[in-house]
Amino acid sequence: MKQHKPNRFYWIISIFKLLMVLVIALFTFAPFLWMLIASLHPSHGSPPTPSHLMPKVWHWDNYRTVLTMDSVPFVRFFLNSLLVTFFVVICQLLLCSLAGYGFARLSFPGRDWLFVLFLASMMIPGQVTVIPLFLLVRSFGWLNTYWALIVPGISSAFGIFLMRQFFMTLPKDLDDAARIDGCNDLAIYWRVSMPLARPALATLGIFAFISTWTDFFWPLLATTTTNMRTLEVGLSLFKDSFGNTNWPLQMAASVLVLLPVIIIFLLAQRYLIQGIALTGLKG
Amino acid sequence: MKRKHSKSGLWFIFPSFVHLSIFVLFPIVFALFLSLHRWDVLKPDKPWVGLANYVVLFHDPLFWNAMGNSLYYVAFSVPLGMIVALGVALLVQQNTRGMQALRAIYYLPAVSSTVAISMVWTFIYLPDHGMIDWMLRSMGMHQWAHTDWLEDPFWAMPALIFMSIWTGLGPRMILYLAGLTGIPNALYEAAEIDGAGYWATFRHITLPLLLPTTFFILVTSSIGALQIFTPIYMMTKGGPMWKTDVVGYHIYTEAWRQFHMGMASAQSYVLFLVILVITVIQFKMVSKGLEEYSLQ
Amino acid sequence: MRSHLIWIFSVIVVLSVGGCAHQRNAFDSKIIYLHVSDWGGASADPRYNRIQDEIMAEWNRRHPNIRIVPEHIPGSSAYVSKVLTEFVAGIPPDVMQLDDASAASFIDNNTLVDLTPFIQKEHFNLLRYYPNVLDIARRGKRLYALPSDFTPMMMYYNKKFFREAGLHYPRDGWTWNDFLHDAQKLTVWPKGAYQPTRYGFLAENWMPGWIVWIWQNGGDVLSPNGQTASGYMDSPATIQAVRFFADLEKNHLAPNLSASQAQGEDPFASGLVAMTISGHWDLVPLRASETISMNNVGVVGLPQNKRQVTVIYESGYAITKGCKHPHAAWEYVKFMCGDYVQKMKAKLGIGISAIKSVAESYRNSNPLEPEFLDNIKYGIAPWGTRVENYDVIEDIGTEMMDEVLIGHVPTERALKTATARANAELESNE
Repeated sequence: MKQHKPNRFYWIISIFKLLMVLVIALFTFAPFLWMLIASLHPSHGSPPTPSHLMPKVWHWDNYRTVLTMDSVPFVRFFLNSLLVTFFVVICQLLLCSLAGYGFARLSFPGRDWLFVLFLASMMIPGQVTVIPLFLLVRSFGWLNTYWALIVPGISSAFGIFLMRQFFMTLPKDLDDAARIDGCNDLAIYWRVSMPLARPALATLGIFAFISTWTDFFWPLLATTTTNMRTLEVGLSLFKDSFGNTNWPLQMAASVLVLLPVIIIFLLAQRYLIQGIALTGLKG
Repeated sequence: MKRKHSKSGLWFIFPSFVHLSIFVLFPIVFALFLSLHRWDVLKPDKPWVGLANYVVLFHDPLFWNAMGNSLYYVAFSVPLGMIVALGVALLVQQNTRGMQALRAIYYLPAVSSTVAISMVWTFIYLPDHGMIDWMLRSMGMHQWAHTDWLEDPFWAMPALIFMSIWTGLGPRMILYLAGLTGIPNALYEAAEIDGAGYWATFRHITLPLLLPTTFFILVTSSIGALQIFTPIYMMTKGGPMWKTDVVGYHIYTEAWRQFHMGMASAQSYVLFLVILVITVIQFKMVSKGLEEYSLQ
Repeated sequence: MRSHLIWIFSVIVVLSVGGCAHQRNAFDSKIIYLHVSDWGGASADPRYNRIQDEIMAEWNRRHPNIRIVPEHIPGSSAYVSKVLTEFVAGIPPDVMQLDDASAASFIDNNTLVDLTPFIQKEHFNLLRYYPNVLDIARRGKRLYALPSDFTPMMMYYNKKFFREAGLHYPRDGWTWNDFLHDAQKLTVWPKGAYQPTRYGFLAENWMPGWIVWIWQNGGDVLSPNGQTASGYMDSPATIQAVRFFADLEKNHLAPNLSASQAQGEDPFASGLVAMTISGHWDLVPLRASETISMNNVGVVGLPQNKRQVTVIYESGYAITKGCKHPHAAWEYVKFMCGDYVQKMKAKLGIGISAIKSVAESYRNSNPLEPEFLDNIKYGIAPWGTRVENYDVIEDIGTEMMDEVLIGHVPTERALKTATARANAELESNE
């Protein structure tokens, strides 16, 4: 702990800590590395094995094979995921910030009761709601359309909670000043609070992005044809006609699926970590 | 300046409330309705059966086997994952650039596609071609080699738990880091003046003050772990010998392979009840713990 | 940084929406689109892909107005639940590949169209098909699918290993004792090795693979009317057969390889095992294999104990209820089950054509074909042709075999538990 004054063990302990930290990092990263290396092994013959770690020839053509297979159109899956995620994120930013603002800054009859209702809904296991949701969406005629993938996700109790926690931290004076200037609630929300909420919105955005992009269960049930699958479901279909797995191709497909999320995460990790602190600590 | 009640707040909530009502609240009620029917979607008639589904599932050994598997999974994956995460958080506490980069690496599994992760771990767990098998062989532990980890009735569940510690590390670590920064430095300084060692400081200051964080992680992780589905679906399909057939997966097969939607709804309600009971127990335990420490 | 992200996002979203719009434009003229579900999948085999492409090109030549929108679902158990989900969702395919092992789940849930009116109207000649294969999708006077191709399950053996062990090649009519003797001789366990380097046989837990052993022993898993497992799955004949099968692995004549499928490497092709039971489809990967020469691949009927029998796995094409273009769909079914496609598929070697004349014309196309053709007469269809949700029973059987093979549960007890589970399942179908 950094508060301790340096003693003669200080350096030994520091080096030991560093080693530990690096070993754990290696352990965390090794599966990704192995995924990447295995994806470059030849796709014919015996599957890759760690005792012959590096391929003799780097088979970058595996990626082309994966991208051009017409039974698993990855480009189409990618565009589906993108479209769905884009709309879900935009809607969540709007709806969750609206509701979060309402709960944090406005008082109205039944507010606390409603807030508890939203919070409690997070406790309900997905298994309870998914069958009725499926039947409901079916009765709307939405199955296997973008509607089914987007609309159930456009608001989330978690997002509302996150935005409320953030709006609670803004000083009230700002609202009051704006109100004296003659702004109504909506104008205050949009012109005063939202510009200040950018970091929180970024956090909500990244959460919504990751959870929608990697969602599996609902898109698996809600889509039935290949052209409507999202990346995550598409990847799970990646088997040959006998249900066998071609490991190098499978790993290449996995790398392709992981890449966008990892890039987004690395660009925006700051917001993600802030968000966890915000909802975790003050919850 | 005092604010009076205004109705406009309701309009802010309204869109989300409508959404919640249609896509969450209504399904909850509808699920209860389904659970009281023999609701086989492929069959034209869906008769009301009262509590028959609950009675049948109460006597269904495979359902309770699945519940047992889920509890086994939660009982190991959550505490072990938390211990590892706390240890790592203590190691990477310093806010240097290097540590921040490491934190990002630790977090990577949590943002990755579960399907991709499940596939690479299946690959790692393979006998002969797998990473683990190769490591054991190169360490000379030939008695362990050739184990088909995911197909072995004893090892399949530990293998899944091991993987879950890996995937869950990042978020739990970040939560613990947030908790650690919330502990006032003055307390550590006081402890040092009192001559308390590292271990005593950890036990009497760090751990108790992290209790709210621990509680939060415990509850959310347990709820999540009780519902685990995707890794099972991708890696073991509940096998071998139903040893990894957890409740989340069991309900899935009931609903989407056999299309017994009524029975599946009844099972999901029982799962909900179990989650509720476990959360309440955890809450009781932690509030007791908090009381004890606040007396000091 | 954030504005960059949003910019990138917007561009890609606009592109993808544009892409969709472009697709929609193609849907305007009088072209009919048929959605077809089958259980193809991604293949790395260029020959397989080429023949699939040729078939599609020929279809487009013959029927330029009817476009096929394929939905490939790999893996047979995923296939059944996925297509059933499509029915539940109310958006079924127009035409589906119907496997005999799951035919009842579709036929008895009233999801398929009776083909008899089409057949009568056109005086379509059904006599060209093998009658026992055609009858798989028959319910009384109604016929719910035309058969495409099929295979009896056969014993594949490695001729080289038989020669090396000084054994005669197995011949039709061989017995369990002959088989056991050969398996013992074929297993190679060098001194000091941790496990055998070669095994006589590949014993998998997968029930569709081992149910034949029960039949060969005069037993069965369900009663003749398919309504109960009691007295069948737990009968002495069944117990004896399961024990015989499980002992192969317990006595190290078969590798512990329940996950061999997941490894992507065929243990027979790689030379780990000398014998394995499989269908005609295995000829496709074996021909492409670099580790085994076709000259060393032999095929023979299954060994018998009380009766000579094998199981036939078949797939056909069916039209679903709710299909908006039944006539176009019928054209497609006829095409897929007709001479042209059948010949192409026979060339690929994926199965035996259900058209007798096509199948016989390939009799001499390779030295193994006669063995397959001569074993058709011993073939019976799996329970799934008549019992709904039979794939769930197969799961129960597979887990039962796991209990026996790796859980060390006594065979009798494992079968008793499985019987109770199967009965519960059969009851819940009613």
